[in-house]
Amino acid sequence: MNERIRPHAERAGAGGGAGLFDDHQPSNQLVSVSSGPYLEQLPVGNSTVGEVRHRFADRLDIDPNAQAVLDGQPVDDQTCVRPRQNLMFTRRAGEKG
Amino acid sequence: MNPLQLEMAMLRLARAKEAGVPVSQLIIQETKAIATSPEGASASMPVELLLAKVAAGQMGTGPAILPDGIKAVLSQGPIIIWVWESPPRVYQFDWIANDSPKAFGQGTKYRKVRLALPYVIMLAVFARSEGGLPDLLTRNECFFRSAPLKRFEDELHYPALLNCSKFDPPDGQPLSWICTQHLRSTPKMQSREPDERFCAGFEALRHCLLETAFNHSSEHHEAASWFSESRRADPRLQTVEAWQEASARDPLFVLEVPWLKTGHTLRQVTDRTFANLQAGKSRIQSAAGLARIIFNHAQS
Repeated sequence: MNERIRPHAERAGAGGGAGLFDDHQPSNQLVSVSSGPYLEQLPVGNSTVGEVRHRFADRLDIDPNAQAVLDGQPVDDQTCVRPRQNLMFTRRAGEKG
Repeated sequence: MNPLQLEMAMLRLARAKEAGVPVSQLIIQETKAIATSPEGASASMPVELLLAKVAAGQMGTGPAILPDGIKAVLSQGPIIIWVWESPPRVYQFDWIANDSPKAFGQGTKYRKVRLALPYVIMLAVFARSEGGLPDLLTRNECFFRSAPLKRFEDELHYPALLNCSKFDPPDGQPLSWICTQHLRSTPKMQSREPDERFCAGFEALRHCLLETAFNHSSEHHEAASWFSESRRADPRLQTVEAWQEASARDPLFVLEVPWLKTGHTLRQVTDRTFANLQAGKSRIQSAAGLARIIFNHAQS
């Protein structure tokens, strides 16, 4: 039997995930979350900072005293994180020089 | 090869000789390795080249699971360089205030600024001690780029950051030195496990670069900071306030800024570091170098 190639339209996205432009799919909820050396794209869009902190505390070694910074702006744990934002947990301390 | 295997091999060799069976022989004489086949054919090559060929093709991350963003690991002699890249993003920094009574140190006044940065490249430089444990050195560097690193031949640009120092003259010095005077060693940096020491040293440096306050120390202790030097490169960098406003308007403007060119590729910068630290001197090139390893092993 001859091999039949599935048309593009029927193929799943890379890794079998959702298409880039599919609405209401996890890939569309991605937030860039970083803590220390970790930097991950996580499907936590529309979660609060506190929820992200609690859920990923162990996985990303998030210091309980780390300041949450959303797109460069310090925020509290009640702040909602929107998809495609950058959330950083930083331990600001000390100075250089 | 463990001692038992070595002993067995020696025994087999002795028996083969006793039985008159021809064997291959390898003699290391000064800087030459001379091989003789059982048929009596002979050939030689430099010891250094032989060792490089033996090690060629072995690719690994050493003892460590690499942190996110490590793009390359390079080593020469006892020196190891981790090349880290962070994508463009907006950071919040503690930056020296315009009305600070001090330029650095105790009494310096800081304010918070939100600055977009392009790709940040950090070179973390480690040295292995005689015992094999790595230590973070104080010769680490930071650079900017407008695109991700794809090849070792990609050029690096100077980072428009305070406390990333310019030396004048630059000979023998890092091109863009990260001031680590106040970097404090953490317990994991003193671990007995090499992987913990690598990762803890890297994290301490990353924290020092991006999470501790920026001041005018480089302007006093070295020739200048690369922030001061870069202010003329683009009106949006003339002051930190202008940079902050441009970041708020469009965080991706940093990908269009003509950052100051170093004139060096990543490969040239890392080669420069190896040369400055005389990493090549520790390369094994002769029988004496190999003998030193054997004697050190016997004593350990």
